[in-house]
Amino acid sequence: MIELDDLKNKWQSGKKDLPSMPINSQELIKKAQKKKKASVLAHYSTITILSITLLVLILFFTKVAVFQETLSHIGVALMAGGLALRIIVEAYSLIKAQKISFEQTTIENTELNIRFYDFRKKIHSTFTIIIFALYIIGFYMLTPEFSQYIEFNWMLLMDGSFVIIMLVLIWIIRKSTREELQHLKDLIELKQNLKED
Amino acid sequence: MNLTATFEELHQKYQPMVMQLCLGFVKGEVDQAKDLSQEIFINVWNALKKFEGKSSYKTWIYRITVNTCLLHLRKNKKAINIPLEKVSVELQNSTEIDKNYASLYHAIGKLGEIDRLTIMLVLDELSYDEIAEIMGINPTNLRVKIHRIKKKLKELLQDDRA
Repeated sequence: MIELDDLKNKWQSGKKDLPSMPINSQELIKKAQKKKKASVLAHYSTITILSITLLVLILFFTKVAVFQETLSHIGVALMAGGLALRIIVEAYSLIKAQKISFEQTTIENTELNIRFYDFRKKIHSTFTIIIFALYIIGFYMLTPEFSQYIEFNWMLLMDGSFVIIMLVLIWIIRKSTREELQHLKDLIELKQNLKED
Repeated sequence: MNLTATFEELHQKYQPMVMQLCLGFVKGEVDQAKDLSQEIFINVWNALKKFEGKSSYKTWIYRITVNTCLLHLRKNKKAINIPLEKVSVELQNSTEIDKNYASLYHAIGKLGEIDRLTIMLVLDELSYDEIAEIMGINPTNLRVKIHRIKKKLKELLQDDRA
């Protein structure tokens, strides 16, 4: 019969034969600093890219290609509004993510992760659809005025490529949504395992 | 003491403890355990500035270890779900881990992730209160849980011997 003390002894004596880490403390610190920089960059890159896109969009339609018709103005407002909404949602998501820390207890960390992925689920199921709808409707509201200045073939190409871009974006978002939903499912299961006797 | 010196001391002191937990968590797979240990100490360094001393360094590092292991599992679900038959072959060929301990890591690897982490904390001789503090679960629930895991682990080890 195996006793717990035997297992403990085995575990403790196993410490003598452990493989060593391939790098020393100094190298670890360098790696950690690099990782921190990359993580900060990754966190803010989406918001920065979206903000620049919004700025370029506004500047383009107010300084370069100024529309005359009300329908086009509404279209620009819808597109810019969709992007602005996306920036707000991303910023809020970032604030929520920053509340999660490795120093928390397992249950606290799991619960915060569940709240975060639950929020992401809501974003994907509601906000993303609203944002896409605003952007697509806004874009097609520009086309009547566009068609006055651009040839039919170019219009066709522009509309066609817009559809392709949207389809690719939807595919990317669906893929990441599936991954995030799987994380949520795993975390809920983990919480149940933690709480069960 | 400055941050670098504190980190060096922590790394030196707790590296074996972290490595062993990682080995048990990744079912004795040495390369994965090394990567995971590295990831844990990277997280330790990045959190060190915020360390408030509310718990001991040991408990704090255990918390980071447990949370990093669970995140690693979510991120690398496919990679970490190594079939146990493959693990057995790797352990038989392993030159770095004594086969004596390999069977223990193998049996631990058959447990669910929370059970795996909990029993390793028990084997590392942490008190139930310390484990409850790391995991944030009720000590009474923990006692029942540990009793159940011990039983299961013993059965697994006996099956391995048979």
